[in-house]
Amino acid sequence: MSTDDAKLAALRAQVHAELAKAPRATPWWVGAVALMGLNLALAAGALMLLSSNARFSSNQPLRWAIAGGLLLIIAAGSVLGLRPGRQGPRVAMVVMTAAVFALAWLMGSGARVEMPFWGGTSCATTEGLVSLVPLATGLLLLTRFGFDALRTALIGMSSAGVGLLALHLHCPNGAWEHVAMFHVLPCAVMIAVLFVARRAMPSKTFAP
Amino acid sequence: MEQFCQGQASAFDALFTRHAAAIRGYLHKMTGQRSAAEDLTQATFISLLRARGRFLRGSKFKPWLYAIATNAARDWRRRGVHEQLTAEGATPESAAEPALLADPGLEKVVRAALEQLPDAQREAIVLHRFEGLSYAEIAESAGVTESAVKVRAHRGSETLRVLLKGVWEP
Repeated sequence: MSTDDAKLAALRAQVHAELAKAPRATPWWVGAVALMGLNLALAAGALMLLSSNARFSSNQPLRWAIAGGLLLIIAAGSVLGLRPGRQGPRVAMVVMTAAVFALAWLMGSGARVEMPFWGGTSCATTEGLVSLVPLATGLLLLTRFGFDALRTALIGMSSAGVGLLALHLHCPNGAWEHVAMFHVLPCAVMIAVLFVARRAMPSKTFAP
Repeated sequence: MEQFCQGQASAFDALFTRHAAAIRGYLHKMTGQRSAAEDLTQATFISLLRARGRFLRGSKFKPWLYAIATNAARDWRRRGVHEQLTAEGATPESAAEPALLADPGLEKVVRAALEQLPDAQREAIVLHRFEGLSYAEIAESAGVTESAVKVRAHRGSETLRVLLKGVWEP
């Protein structure tokens, strides 16, 4: 038996063994719905634990509109980031997410809270802690695909959005420099870390 | 593919028998190395097995399989797991490799030129020109529009034309 034949025989044996163990394919949406559920549950949990900043905001409709946008990103981003098929919807979602993140920054309450500038690190820490599990879970699910920058960006944005939503409805400091430095920048850092981690990790499969 | 998704091992054997040689040839063109092509062919079919739940009902199988192989080749390039080249710039097992073109000297030049193209352009050219996939199939495989594939192939051909001026017409 040549090396090629031996490899082929080994591959067939492996496939037959795996098929015997799990004959039915797991639909793609199982992982996506699980990630979406986890992210929404964590967002809800964080919002219940953290106090509301409603009394500091002068524009309630805008505050809720941005929160709604972030909620949509958390839910739809998880699904689109793991959905097979065309890239178009993922591109559109990344653009929309960037726009909502920018709105969350630029259209904050504007309310200033007297605190030392670096006192905002507690916001960044809270955001990091709230987003940690979504990011780690998203990273694991991303290894089911070959490295894909668009998928990674979307899962990163969706996961970081969990922490951003929690801060958006909790943090009383709406000054643009505070929001930029301690709400939005940590999101960008988390997404960058996800990129680096995903590139370094091997792929479990290469199916799109 | 439907039967394979239902867990029929014989359906996998049929798919493997029908497509393995073509996929190995494609991966050889993408990597330039026979042993890498062998390993990536295995990785492609293991991915096919483990990710069969991601195959969208109603879509074509061939573009999906080539998309898996393309991703495997990209991952291989990204990781830089390349073999040492000989003094002549060939891989140690070049003699045993299936030829891209009839003229070995020309083939070396064309391979070198293809290597200089960005991934997306090289993939569009190899899939269309050497694997015989239509632009629509390549678009389905890459998850982009057909016109985007045509642009990639056109730009790649233009670059190849410059690189291979007077040697080969892509």
